[in-house]
Amino acid sequence: MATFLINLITSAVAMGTVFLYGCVGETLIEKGGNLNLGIPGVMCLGALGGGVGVTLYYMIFENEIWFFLILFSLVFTMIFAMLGGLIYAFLTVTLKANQNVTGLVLTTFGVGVMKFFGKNFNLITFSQSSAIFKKFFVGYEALGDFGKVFLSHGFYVYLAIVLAVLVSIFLNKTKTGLFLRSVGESPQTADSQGINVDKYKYSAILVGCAIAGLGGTYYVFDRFGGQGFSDAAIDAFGWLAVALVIFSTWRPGIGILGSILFGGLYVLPYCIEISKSQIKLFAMLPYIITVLVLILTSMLDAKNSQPPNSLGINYFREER
Amino acid sequence: MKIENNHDPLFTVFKRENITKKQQFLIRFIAIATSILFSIILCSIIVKKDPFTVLGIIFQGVFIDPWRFLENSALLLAFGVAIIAPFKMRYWNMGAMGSVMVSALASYVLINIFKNWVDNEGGSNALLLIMMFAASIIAGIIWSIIPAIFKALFNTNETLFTLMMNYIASALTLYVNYIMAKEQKLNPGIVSFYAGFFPTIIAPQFVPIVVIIIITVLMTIYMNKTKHGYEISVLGDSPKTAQYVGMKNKKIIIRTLVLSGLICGILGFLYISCKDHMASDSTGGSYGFTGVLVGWLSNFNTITMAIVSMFLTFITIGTEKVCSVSNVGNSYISSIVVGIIFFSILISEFFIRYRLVVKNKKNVDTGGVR
Repeated sequence: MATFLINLITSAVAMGTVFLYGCVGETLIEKGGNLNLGIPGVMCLGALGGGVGVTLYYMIFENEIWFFLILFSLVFTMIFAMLGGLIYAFLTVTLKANQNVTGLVLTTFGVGVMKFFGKNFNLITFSQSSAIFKKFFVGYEALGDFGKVFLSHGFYVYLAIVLAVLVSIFLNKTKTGLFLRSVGESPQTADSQGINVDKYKYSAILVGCAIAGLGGTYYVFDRFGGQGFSDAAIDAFGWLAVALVIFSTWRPGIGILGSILFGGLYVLPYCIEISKSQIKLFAMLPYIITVLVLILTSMLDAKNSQPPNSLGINYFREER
Repeated sequence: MKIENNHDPLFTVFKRENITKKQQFLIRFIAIATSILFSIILCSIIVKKDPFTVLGIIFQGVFIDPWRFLENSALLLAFGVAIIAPFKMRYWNMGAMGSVMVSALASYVLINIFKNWVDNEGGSNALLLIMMFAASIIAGIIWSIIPAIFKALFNTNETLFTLMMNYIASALTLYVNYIMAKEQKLNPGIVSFYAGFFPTIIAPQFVPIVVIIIITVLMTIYMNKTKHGYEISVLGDSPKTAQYVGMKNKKIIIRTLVLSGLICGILGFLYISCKDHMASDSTGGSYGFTGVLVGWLSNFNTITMAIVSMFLTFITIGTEKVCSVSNVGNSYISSIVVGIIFFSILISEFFIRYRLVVKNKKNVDTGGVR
């Protein structure tokens, strides 16, 4: 039983990280008042960027050097994801296009770009690099179960948790975070206080997309063993990440726990002995739980668990 | 714009008060033409052929099978028609895909149960088709009103709810398919060639196209000429106004989503009885989202939607053909092209709703900046 639980939690943390990246990025964007349904597409673009980064790495280096490999993947993931974010920001903030529609187009576009261009990568080097992605702490085996649950993961897992904590502190404890939240709640008020609404929205979208994109790279290289892009179901994970934002009631701290829960639900059928048909039935669980959370939060109508007030509405100064 | 900065911005944005139909058409035309040009050049770079050859292949790919072109356009249009009523009410129904999948599944299960009866024991195929039709409609309606009920009662966020329903639907489809495969009596995949098939009139694609055209016409009348349609647009513009004039908002939301589910149900039935004859998690394909985009960007005008659907199908089939004759692997290039076209339409919407005024010293005070 104990071994089972430890295996389950370990895989849950590992899987949940995919959702956590998307959730933290999307939370930041939504706090600025933009509902970005393009997160699945952004995660796909990020994964493609990660692939480009790793490919470039192997053009320069011959052996796997942990630091540079991770650095290359990080930098290129963020560049690609931010390009996706830039399209979204330009359309919704500058050109005031409908956010839902823009997000869906970005998702279609991102998935298409990843699956089309992703097929040209050298998968042999990718599976080699996957081993590096999974390695971070050394000697955790000596710490037994504690080491396995907490220290056996790759760098990206810890980065996700650090980012979630940082974003949480940024939103709640800093002046800039307060300004960003005010832009999300009431851009008119923020504008009248001299806050540059467009600048805040742009920054939140770009940084948020950069964070979300890391989830795609993490999934392909760490969880998927670098096996390429054509089968990776990153878009489905993207929607779960968007759902996790609601589950966490726009708090990245709760998002960490939520991601472990979502990850656990996702991996549970593979950890317990059930028939294949039940595995297929279990695949619904994360979505059903999300639906239940959606219903619950709306029923309770709690004041502190509501979306930012101007979420999904574009701001045009002359329209009041 | 950044007026608080010391330096003046290069442009100032003003809302357009009135824009002629001709101007609108011109702006949209430029946007679409530019995006097509860009897409064709992109395609020709990828497949390393000159753009005119690529254009030729696109036309060839479309007109080699005109029925397929018409059917795909009709299906895309139908997905758009299924969501216009909810969208006009500002109910963001992303769940058409899931509803169609579930209703197709309902028909498919019935085929599997009764195919032996129809094929070997003299059962009536017409009766089976009627049962399938009813089951599909019920399944489609149930799937689309679950989120609507919660929206009406608790104002639950429907965008994410309906998105989640899509994934639940695809998991359910996989599960039921697996169960049916396991039980020897029901053999999915080994399809009967008679039971549950709609008789072919002219071409297999003819019936779905006609049905979808009828649905589209009825929906146009419903949205523009009936009291229900008017209530939907009032509710969409201002829920409070609707409430004050005594409209029952909750009832309207649920009624509209019953209608949307009904269309999805008919679509699911058409998929099984006329097109695929089996349900999978890819039933409906990517039309769910593209249909939403078609509906929204055509401003819920069904004629525009029909044109946009045909245009997008033309480009999609064409670029897929370009990929397949050039051996560049998968057909995801069409998603990229669709993305580019929609991005460009979104940009054009800005120029329809707003106008840019270049700031210079002569007209610095014009335009009524408050």
